[in-house]
Amino acid sequence: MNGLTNGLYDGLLTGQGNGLFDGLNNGLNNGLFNNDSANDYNALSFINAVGTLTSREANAINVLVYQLKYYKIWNKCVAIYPFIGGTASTHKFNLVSPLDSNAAYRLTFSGGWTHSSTGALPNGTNAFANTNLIPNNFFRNYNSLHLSFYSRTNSITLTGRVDIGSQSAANRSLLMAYGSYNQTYYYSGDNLLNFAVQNPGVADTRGLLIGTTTAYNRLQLFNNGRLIASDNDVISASLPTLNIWIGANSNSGGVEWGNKECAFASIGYSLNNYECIILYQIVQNYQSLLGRQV
Amino acid sequence: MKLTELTPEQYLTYVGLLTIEQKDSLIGQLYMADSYFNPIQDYYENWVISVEEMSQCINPEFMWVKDLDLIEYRPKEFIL
Repeated sequence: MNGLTNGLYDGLLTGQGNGLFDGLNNGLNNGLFNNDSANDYNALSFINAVGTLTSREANAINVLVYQLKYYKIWNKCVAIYPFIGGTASTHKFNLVSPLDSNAAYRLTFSGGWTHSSTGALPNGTNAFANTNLIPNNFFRNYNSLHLSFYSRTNSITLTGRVDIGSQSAANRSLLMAYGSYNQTYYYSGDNLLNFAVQNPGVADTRGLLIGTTTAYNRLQLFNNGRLIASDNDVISASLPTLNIWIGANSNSGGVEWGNKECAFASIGYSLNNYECIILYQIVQNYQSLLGRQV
Repeated sequence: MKLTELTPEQYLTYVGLLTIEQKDSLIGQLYMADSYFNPIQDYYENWVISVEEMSQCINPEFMWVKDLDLIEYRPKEFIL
C-alpha cells in the first residue's frame, strides 16, 4: 500500500510539476525573462555590490531574480547565494541583501576553498563558509524553513560530509548532505527522530538538493525536482544556536567537512512541493545561462 | 616534503604542519581577500592548515606558510 501511495504521489507531483515547467519554459522561449534592459531593482543592487560581473553574468542574475519573484519564491528566501563572479570577494554576497556585512548574512570563507567561474569548492579538510545566520535567532521553529544546495561534484563517501547546515547538539540538528555516509539526507530537529533520509543515497550527487519542513510536520527531501525521501514527525526540538555553514557541519568548530562544489544555495521559509519543483527549474535555468549546469 | 614538490592529486592528502605559535598567529587572519586561515587539529592533535591556504596565500605577512613542512593528513574522528 505504501508503494502504491508513493507511486501515485510521485506521479501526481511529476505531472503537475511538468505542467508548471512548460509554463516556465514557454515564458523563457517568449523572451519574457531574458530582457537585459528590464533590470530588477534587487538584481541591480546585487550586480552593483559585486561590481565585476560580465553582461552574461548580470543577465543570469536578472533572470534568476525575475523568476524567483514571478513564482513567489523570492519572498520565502532569507539568503540566496548565487556563487557568481569566480572569487571569494564575489561569491560572498547574499542576493536578497547584498550588503558587505555579516548582518546581511554575507558569507565568510575560511580554510581551503577553490573559487572559480563554476562555483566554490571546499577541500573536504577544513573549509567552510559561514552564513552568519543562526537558525534559533531567526526562525520560529523547524516547520518554517528550507535549505537548498546545488552541487557540481559527484562524490559519495562512507564518511560524513555535510553540504549545508548547523548543529549545536544532537537534538538541535539542521543538516543536509549528498552522498554522506552513503546517504542523502535532511535532518531537521532531533537527529535520532527527525530526518528524511534516502539510504543508500542518490547515485549521482550533482544537482539541486532541497530540504524543507511543512506546517504539517512533514520533512521532505527533493533531488533535482523529485521527492526522494520524507518523514512525518512532530518536531519538538529547539533550533540550533550556531551559524549555518556551507561546506561543513558547524558543530564543535567544524566537523563532517564537505567536498562538493557549490554553485547555488538558499536558506529560507518552508517551500511547498510545487515550489521545490519550480525552484529546481529556476536554478537549473540559471546554471544553464552561465554554462555550468549539471 | 614541501609545497613545491606536491602534485595536484596530492593536495587532498597533505597538510601544512604548524607550531602552536604559528597557529595562534594565523587565527582570524586573511590569506587572500575574503578568505581566512582555519588551522585545525588532525587525528594526532597536530595543528595544520590546508595546502590551498598555503598555495593561495598572498598576504605578505604570512608568506612563510608556503615553506611549511607537509605531513599526510588523517582526520579526527567525529562522534556526536
